Amino acid sequence: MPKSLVRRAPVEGHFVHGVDVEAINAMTRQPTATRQIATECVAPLEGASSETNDPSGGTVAAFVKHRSPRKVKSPLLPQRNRKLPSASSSDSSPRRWIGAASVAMVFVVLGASTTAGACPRCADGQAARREVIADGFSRNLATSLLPFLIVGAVSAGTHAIGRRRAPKNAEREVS
Amino acid sequence: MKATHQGAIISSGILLGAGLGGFADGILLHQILQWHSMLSSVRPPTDLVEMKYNMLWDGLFHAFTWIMVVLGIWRLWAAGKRPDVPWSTRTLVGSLLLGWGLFNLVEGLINHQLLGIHHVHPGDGQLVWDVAFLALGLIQIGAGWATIAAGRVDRTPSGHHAAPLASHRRQ
Repeated sequence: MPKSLVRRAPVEGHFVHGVDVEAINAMTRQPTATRQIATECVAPLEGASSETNDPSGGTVAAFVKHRSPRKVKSPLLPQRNRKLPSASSSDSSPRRWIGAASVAMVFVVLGASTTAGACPRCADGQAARREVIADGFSRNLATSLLPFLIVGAVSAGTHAIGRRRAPKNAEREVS
Repeated sequence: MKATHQGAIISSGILLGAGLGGFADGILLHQILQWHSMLSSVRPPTDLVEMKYNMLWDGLFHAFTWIMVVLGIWRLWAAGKRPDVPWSTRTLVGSLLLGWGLFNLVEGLINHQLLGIHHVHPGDGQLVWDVAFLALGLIQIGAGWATIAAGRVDRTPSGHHAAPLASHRRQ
């Protein structure tokens, strides 16, 4: 590891556990310097963190993993002009999930509308739905639901099996 | 403390078994084999409108089975957090079988025998198929009950084996 990146004693400011964060940031912005970081800085730190001689209790390893292990150890690394993501971007960003959910929602709406538009013989479907409502909907619904309600009642009845009750003497003492 | 509250697992297992059994019925008999639909003995699916009519009721049937599965998962999740509930595979498998068999028995008695809204395999010899369906339900109930009884000796709550590992990590 280059000596310019490490200090011997614990320090404050932009040094974290002896690693110069600003220097790493500056180097990782340049693709040609990424491999140098991988071979000289990160790999020895990762090796140290996986063993027991990491005095920081794994904090350095967590730091290194957070900053760049996937970027550094990725097979895509030889692509020299590959644009690295900025330091502020994060995989667990809420914005990312909101964006993905929005895209999924758009696809669902488009899919549903397309399916509805392509409905084969829609007149038959509408007639069937009218029949379902007109032809004793409540009775048929109750008939369909009844077995489930009975099973649900049996399930609720079995819940008490094996449950311990508090002794009566204890109840009296409490009251 | 020994975990004895077996009923929490049995209760959730019955819900799950009934839901999964309902799905098996709907997927296998209604859709793949197409032996019957929910109201196929009342409104035989002889044309597209009647087919769609039965299809819609099949959809509602599947919606109810889905609700049963969701309730079962919710109850099982709650049971897993309790220290007085034995985390027994035999109890869970037995109660799944019990729930499935119970659903087959109740559904067979009400829908096939009493109301006759559909039959397992309509046509010649439909009574034989219906009785066989009821017999299958009874066998499942018996097997489930026996498995639950075998699991009564299990007294270990959920997460019992994970505790030593957690304490080891703290060191």
